[in-house]
Amino acid sequence: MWWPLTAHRLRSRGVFGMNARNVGGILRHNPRALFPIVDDKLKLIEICQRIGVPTPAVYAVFERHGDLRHLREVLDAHPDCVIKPARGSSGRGIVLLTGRLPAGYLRNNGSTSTINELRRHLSDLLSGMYSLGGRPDRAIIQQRLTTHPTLERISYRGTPDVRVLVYRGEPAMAMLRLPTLESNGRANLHQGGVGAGVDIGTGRTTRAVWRGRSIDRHPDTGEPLAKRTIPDWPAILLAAKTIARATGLGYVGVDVVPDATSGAMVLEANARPGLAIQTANGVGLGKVLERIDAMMESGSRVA
Amino acid sequence: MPRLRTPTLGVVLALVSLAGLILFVRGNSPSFVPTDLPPSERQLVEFLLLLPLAALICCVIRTVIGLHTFGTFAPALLGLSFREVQSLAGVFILIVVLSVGWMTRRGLARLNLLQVSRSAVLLSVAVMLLLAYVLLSNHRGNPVSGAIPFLPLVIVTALVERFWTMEEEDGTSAALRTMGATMLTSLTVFLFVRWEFIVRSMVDNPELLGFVVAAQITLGRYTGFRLVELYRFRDLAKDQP
Repeated sequence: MWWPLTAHRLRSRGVFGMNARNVGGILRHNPRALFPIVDDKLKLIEICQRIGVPTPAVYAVFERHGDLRHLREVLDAHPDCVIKPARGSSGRGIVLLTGRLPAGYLRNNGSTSTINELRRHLSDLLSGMYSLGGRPDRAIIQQRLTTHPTLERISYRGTPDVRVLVYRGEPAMAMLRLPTLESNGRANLHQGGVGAGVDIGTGRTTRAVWRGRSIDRHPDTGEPLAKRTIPDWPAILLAAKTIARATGLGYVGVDVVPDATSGAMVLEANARPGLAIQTANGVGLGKVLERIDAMMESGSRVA
Repeated sequence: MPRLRTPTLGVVLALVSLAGLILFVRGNSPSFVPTDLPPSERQLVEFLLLLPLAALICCVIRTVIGLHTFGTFAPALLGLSFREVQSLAGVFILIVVLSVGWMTRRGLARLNLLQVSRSAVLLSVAVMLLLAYVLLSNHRGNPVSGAIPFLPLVIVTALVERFWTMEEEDGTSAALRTMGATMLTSLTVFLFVRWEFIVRSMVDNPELLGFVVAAQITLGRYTGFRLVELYRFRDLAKDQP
């Protein structure tokens, strides 16, 4: 008979479940008509460029299967790049290339892929294998970001990013997402990445979770995860806030990477941000959102 | 308890009272579904009447329990198709078709086919297997007759494709877990729709669909925790310093 007690405790701590998130967060604050802006990464990149928020450079976009014959030229010009679906989710279909070899292209996980294997991957991608709802998709060949030196020792073969949950234009919660051996270079938590809660005010990590449980050290590098200062923190918050307001979404997750050379770069935004951010911070979302609501109410009364 | 806001509550009450009213006024007079329907028509009517109920079961399993399945209503269709086969042979056939489909899919990965053609090949392989089953049972003297094991083949093909993709992306254990949840949901649907009492009630009183829709709407406003989330967030429920 443990579960009524658990439910009661979680509720009193303001923890959001999926249903509460869907009804109270997404349905209420994210008009369906605005979803395409964030579901298509190319649209978001366009917005970033228009309002001057830094985002990784786009080298090429593939739309038709026939165009894939030019893939070799593009990759030879930019052997250090990311291939990603424009409408993908949870890091699916993303391939990171780090260099050119005689036999093919070197991937971030140490393996090599031939041009034909990559062409097949892109062909699957264009067919919609990784896109939301299986719709035909476009492939983006984009600048690969590099891990900031201060985060290098707590990431394994991949670039960490910061997920900032922005509620009604205000940053509500943030977590640092770190790739692991298991997550294969991706920073998504449900694929085995580590999530570290971040204090919004200071930009320092507080605690971390891996596979849903608390951990103190990175599972692969063994480095402690708490009390790390995230580089470019004010710029990260500003970028997240600017993008959230530009999309018009009231409940949105913005992914920002502190790049080693270019600083805070916006990767993408998500209109259906997950709930792992609560476990990473050890705090329920409900209370935080209520505080922002109260702030908005008092603010509007003054105005 | 589901939190009902006024318009939702209104619609639910209207549906329930309308269905209840029809049920009461009709009394013992015959059902809207004539009893002298030809068997094939009757089969179709039963299928149609049970589909919303199967969808409701899928809603409960997803929003209250929190199991994640391949496709939202694929388990509903699978569960109903098990009923058409009238035995657990349906489950067995499904498992055989899925395993052969999965092996085919592995082989097809080497051929570099476009996705649509690849799915078409998978569909054809599934058809061949089913054809073999029909002919074989005919040969052994127990024809499958009117109740052709009507597996929704397109759905089975999609299952193979999604299983394979998930296996590649998130690993075999994640894919197997989702497949297990899909099977469990299908079986739950099957257990309900093979229950003669439920089928009889629906055919004799189609106005019960009003209650089914009301239940679906009510679930649509459920904002409480899913059962699996109590486990997922168990650390957040612990005593905090």
